[in-house]
Amino acid sequence: MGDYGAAVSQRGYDVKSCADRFLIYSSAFQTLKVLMKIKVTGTLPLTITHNLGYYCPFEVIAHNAPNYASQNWKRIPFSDGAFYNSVNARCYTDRIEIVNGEYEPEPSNSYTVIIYLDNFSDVTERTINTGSSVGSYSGDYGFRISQNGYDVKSCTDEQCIFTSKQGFGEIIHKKGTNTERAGQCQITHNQGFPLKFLAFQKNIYESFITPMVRRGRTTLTLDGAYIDSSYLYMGVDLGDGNYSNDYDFYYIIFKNKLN
Amino acid sequence: MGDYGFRISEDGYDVKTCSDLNCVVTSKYPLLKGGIQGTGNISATAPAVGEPATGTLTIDHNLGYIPIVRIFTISEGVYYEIPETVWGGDFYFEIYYEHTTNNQIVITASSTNYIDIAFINVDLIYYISFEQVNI
Repeated sequence: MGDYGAAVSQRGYDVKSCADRFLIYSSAFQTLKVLMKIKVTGTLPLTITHNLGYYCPFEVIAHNAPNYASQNWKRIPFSDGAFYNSVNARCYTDRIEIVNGEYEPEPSNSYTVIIYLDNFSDVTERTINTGSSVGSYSGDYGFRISQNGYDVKSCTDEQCIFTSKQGFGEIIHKKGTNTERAGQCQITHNQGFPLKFLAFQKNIYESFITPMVRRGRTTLTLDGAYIDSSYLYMGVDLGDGNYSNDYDFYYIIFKNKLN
Repeated sequence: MGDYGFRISEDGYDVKTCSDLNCVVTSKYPLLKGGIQGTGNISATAPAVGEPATGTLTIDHNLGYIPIVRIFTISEGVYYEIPETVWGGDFYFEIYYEHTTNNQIVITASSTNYIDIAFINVDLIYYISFEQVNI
């Protein structure tokens, strides 16, 4: 196919020549689409049905954290030094479950669950522009689409499906699933600088994915998911200096430069 | 309301008939909207061996609601996402976590060392999306 598409750059950047990471939106790349955002309240476990038929990216934010003082409105799992025992979330192919930790069950609480429509099918990395250019135009400009029922001229940015006012894009550089089951996996991204990412792990004996968090030993292995200028690394530390071979990894690497 | 909207399909898919999953954008579903990004540092030194070195970084976002927040720590060229917990044998322990209010994000970093004075000095990068969480 020939050249086509739509793109919106960050303010001050030339949309035709700026590096991909300065784009707020580009039809050449995927962006996470919010399928549903829902508040649930009650005693754990709590279940939210999505019926997508596949594993999807998701986020769960706790409204209160009774067992962890001053940690309200934070993503789960909580960081308390015992992730295995804290509240966690599981995504099955038809639902999300918010579940209790083994030793520190949460009393009744409210959670906001954000489920994305996207899946973890392979999207290979693609780079259109690597250069950057800074323009001088700072007047009124832009492009916005409101959600159903909101006036695009007067609604807030949060009520928009898309607004060029946003400061950075959530453009996907690469995504996929690693099923090699050979300890820690390394996903190349070929950008030469670290990128923002989302990572989930799935024990091959389970039927759900959970967010990857770091709870490893500095003196043995680098546990969880982390990224550098060359690779996204994902692995589950067994605690003895080795990585488990019993996990698949689901990942999304964004265009956003971390450093 | 009648049929309306805006959609752009992925390369190779017919925009009129493809599924929403094969669209790079569809007005049927909001895109995750990036908002504010920045960097910071937390440094602290413990008062004594076995005592925690704890520091906080407060970021004003002033959105008036709770947004989605994602924070990464930087250590020797490697980037991890908060929350994090790190053990070093049986004598060393670090935790990183955040909480958010309608106008601020508070990031806490804490390190404890049982054989030496603990210190913490960590660089951070944060992303605040416009997506409202307190619905």
